[in-house]
Amino acid sequence: MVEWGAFGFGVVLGWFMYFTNRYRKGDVQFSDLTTLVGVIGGGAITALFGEAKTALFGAYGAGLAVGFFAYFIVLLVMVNRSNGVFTVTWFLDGRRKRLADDEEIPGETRPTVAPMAVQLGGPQQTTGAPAVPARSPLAAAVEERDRAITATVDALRELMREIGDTTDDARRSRLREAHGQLTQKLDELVALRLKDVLDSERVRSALAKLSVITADLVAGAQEMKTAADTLATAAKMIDRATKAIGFLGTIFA
Amino acid sequence: MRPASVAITLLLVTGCSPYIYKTEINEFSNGVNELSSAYNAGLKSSGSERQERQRRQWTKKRARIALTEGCVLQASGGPDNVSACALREVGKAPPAPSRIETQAIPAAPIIKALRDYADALAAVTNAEDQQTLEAAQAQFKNSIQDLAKQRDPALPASLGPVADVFSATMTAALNARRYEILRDGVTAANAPVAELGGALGEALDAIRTARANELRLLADDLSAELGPAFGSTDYLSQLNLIEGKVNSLEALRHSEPGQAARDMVKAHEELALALKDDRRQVQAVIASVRAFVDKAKAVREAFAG
Repeated sequence: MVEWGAFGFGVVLGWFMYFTNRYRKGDVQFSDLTTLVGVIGGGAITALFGEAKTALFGAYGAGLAVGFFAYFIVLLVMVNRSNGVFTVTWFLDGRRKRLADDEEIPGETRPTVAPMAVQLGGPQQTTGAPAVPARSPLAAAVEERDRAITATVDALRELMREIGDTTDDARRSRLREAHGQLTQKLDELVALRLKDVLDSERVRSALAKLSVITADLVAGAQEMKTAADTLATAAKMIDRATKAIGFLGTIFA
Repeated sequence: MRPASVAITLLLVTGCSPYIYKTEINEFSNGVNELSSAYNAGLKSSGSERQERQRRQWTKKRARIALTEGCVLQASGGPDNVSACALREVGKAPPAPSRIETQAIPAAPIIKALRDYADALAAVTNAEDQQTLEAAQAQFKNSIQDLAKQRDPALPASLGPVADVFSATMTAALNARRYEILRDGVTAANAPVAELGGALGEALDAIRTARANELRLLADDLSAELGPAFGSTDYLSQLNLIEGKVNSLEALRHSEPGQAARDMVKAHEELALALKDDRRQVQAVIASVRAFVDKAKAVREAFAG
């Protein structure tokens, strides 16, 4: 009976392990390790049961394997019964059929990670093609701007070289004009990049946090000063008390 | 209490005092001040070079000049922020600062926040507090001994070591508290300092570009004028001027403002690490703070030169 309990416990953890792997968000993350910790923890628990620990660990391990592969077998059965919508190729590279006109995948459906570790694009992917992680328009614009800065600097260097090489005054004048215009363009692009950084929410939030920390440190510094001042005051008071006692001693002597 | 046991007690008590990185924190604060000076000097130099270029252009074409409306001050109240009091060419808009210079102004609060933070760190490790404490402790010991003398002239001799132990315990307790304040503050500030350091690096890199632009345009204008029409004295004088601009550009080229800001972040991280775990990685802190200060100083010199 006890072995069956350990076996059942292993089955549940094995099932959950596969489930977590299937729905993890792309690359393995630190949080995924919690499953592993759970699995190891399960094995460790069986060690607490004295003489029976070897048998319990065996049952637990068998249960773990059964649970893990049972999940996969259930997936295989479901793919087999999907009337051709999914085939075993889904297990290889996530390939699937397009959605029919009257079908949809709700936006809140969790994206899965295929057993062969190809990352699928999630519910919005209806073409069946493996997804390439989408770049946000903002990130694309930022990259474009940074490329433009590099290209402008390169063009300016080329212009300087040309200005230095040409002996034709008219051409030199045109090149110098272009130099002025490109310098202005570089100024605009760099200013744009700086604006993005300085106006960001992250910088604002960091400024606010640092102000609070600074205020705490200032209070701490004051605390240090107060401690020294308090001792100085105490010393003065004892000094005065000593003088008063000496004075009174002289009077009553 | 025997002198030997007092000495052992003192040793044990003072041995508990944590290392509070006073020198390193003061150096870190100096480095932040250098970056702050670099920011101000960079903006100022960039503005000066633009002004110089403008003056030469006006002089060359003998332009008609007028004052801007900003030269009419408000009759009362504080500083007027309508527009700057400057010169303009008649019929043209007043010369505007470059986009980068305008955009770099919002970086001032970041620099102020970092300076305030570094000053606060230095204040926690303040040497003056320690001196005040030591003076107070000496005075306290004398006062106690004087008081004891009223009762029994032999008592002060035995009270002296007790007062010493008390002083050492108090110093150790205060230093432990000082360490705790520093550790908590620096650890909590690590992420904001990294974020603001990155932003400051971007701002300084941008200012470097702005100043290089102004210097290059000015040097290019000066070079274009230079030719056979110049007498040898004038030629030499103009050549010196151009070479001065080129030297400034070269100094800017060697400066690494972004790296200096990253070094600041690294030095702070090392400090946080050293304070967090008590293995006292003083060498790593010293090395990273020194690297940061050296780089920050070089940036300031390049921006001001």
